[in-house]
Amino acid sequence: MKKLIFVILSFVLAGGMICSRPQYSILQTYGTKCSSCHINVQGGGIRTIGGWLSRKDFSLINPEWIGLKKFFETLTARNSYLDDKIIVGFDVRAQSARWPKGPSSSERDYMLMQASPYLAIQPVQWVLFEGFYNIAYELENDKRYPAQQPYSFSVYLKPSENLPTLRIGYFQPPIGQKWDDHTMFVRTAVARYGRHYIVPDDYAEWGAQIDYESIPWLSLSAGAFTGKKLSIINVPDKNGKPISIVKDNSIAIATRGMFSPPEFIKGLNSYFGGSFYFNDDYYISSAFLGIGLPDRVSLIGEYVRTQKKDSRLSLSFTAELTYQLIESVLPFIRAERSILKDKNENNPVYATNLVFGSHINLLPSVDLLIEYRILDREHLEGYFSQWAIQLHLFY
Amino acid sequence: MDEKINKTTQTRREFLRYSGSFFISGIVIATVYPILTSCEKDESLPPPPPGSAINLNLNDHPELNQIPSIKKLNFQKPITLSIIIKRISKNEFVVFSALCPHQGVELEVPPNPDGNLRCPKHLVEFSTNLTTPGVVVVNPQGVKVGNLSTYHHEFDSTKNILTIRLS
Repeated sequence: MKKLIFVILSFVLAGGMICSRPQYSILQTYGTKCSSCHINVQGGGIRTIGGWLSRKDFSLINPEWIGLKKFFETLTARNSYLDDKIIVGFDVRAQSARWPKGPSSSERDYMLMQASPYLAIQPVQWVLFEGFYNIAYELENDKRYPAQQPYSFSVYLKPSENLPTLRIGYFQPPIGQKWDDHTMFVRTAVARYGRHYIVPDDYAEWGAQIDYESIPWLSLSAGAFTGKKLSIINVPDKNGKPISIVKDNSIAIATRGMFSPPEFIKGLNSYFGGSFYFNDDYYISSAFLGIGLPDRVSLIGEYVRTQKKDSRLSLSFTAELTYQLIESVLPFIRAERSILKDKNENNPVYATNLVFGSHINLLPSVDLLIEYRILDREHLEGYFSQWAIQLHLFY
Repeated sequence: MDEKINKTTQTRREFLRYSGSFFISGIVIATVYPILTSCEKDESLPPPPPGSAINLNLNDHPELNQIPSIKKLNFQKPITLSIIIKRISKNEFVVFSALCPHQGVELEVPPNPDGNLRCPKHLVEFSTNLTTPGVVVVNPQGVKVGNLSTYHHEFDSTKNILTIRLS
C-alpha cells in the first residue's frame, strides 16, 4: 500500500516532461506522462518505483540460461529503502563511435558517456530531494559539450494534492522533449563546422519552477532560470564577431504545456505539446507529438526553432518510428533535418541525418543500442556514415 | 542407474548447448564487427589542387583595410575552405585555418583583433600574434590539441590584393 501511495505521490509530484525515452511512454500502458517512470520533472534520471518495475525484467537472454538467475533476482529485488523514503538508481552508458579527428576526418573511439548514480529522499510526504552526479564528466574531458554540467539537484515542494508543485534547485529548464540521445538535431543543430548547442546534454541552471499536474490529461510547467551556464555558448553577430547567446547575469523564462488526451481510438496512445524558452532576444520554441499503439509501434516527432536576434536562426526536425518486435527488442528508424542561418552569411547550412538502429535488452537492466548513422551536410562533399554501439546499464 | 545416465547426458547436452552458443556468438561478433565498420566513411574537405591559390581583393573586404583587423571568410568555390585573416600592419598579415585541429570545429573570431581565436567546443584559444601564430595559449579542459595551421601568402600593396597559397 505504501508503495502504491509513493508511486501515486511521485506521479503527482513530478511534472510533465516527456521521458528520456519518449517511445516508452507510447509503447507501454502506464500513461504518456514522463512522471509515470521518472521522478525528475525533466524526464530521465532517477526512476520512480513504477518506472523501475516497468523495464527491470525485460531480457532477451534468460539469466537462468547463463547461471545468473540468483544475481539478477538479487539485483532487481528493490530500488527503494526505509519504507520507500529513499530511492536509488543509476545510468551507465559506454559507447563506441567515430569522433572527429581534425577538420576532415574521424576515428573510432571508446567513451564512457555517463556514469550517474541517482538518489531521491522523501523525508515527509510534501518534500522530495533528488539529484545525480555524472562521474564520467571528469573522466572524458575532451568529449564534453559546452554548458554541460556534471550534476543536478532540486527539491520538490507540494503542500497539497491539488496544488501545483514548486521545484527549486539546479536543473534543466523545461524545453521540448527530453531524449536519451544528445546528438539529435532538436538538441544540437548542425553548424557549418561543428554544432549549435540548443539544449546541451545535462544542461542545468539555478532556477525555480511550478508544475501543475492535477488534471490527468494536462501538464503545465513554468519557471525562471539564470542564464549563466548557457552564456558560455557564443553565436556570430551580423558582423561575424562572437556574442554570448544569453547574458551571464540574465534571467530566462521557460514555459511548457503537454496534453495527454484520452483514447480517441481504442488502444491508441498519444500526446502533444509545446514549450517556449526566452531570455531577452534569444528564444527556443518547440512543438512535439507522440502517437502509437502500446506494445506495437510508436511515432515520435519534434520541431524546434531557435532565434538570436540579428545573429542566428535554427530550425530542426526529428521523427522516430519504433516497432516493438518483442518486449526486449525495439528496432527504430529516425529521420532528422537541420537548417541554420547566420545573419553574417549568405548561405544557410542544411543537414540531414538518418539513423537505423535497435534497442536490445540483452539482460535485465542491460540495454545494447546498435545504430547505423548517415549524416549529410550539404556544403561538404559526400556524406558521413558510421556504426555506433552503446552499452547502457540502468537501474 | 538409468537416472544417473540421464542426468549425465542432460549435463553434457547443456554443456554443449551453452559452450556452442558462446562459441557461435564469439564468431559472429568477431566477423560481423569488421564488416559493419568497413562501410563507414567521412565527409571530405577536398584538398586544394597543387599550386592553387586564392586572390583576395581587399577592396571587397573593407574591414581588412583597418589596422589591426581580423575577419573570417568561408569559400565554397573553387574549393570548400574556411580561413581567418588577421592584418597586423600595412603589409603584414597572418592567415589561419578557421577549423580547430582538435575536432574540426569552426573557430570564433575575437571581438578585439588582437584577441585569441577560440574554439567554442572545448574553449581552447590560439594566439594571433605575429611571433606565435596559431600557438595554443589557453586550454582549460586539457584536451590534446596541436597548434593551428597557417597559410603562406603574399600581399601586393599596389593592387591591394592578398594572395593565399593553399598548397
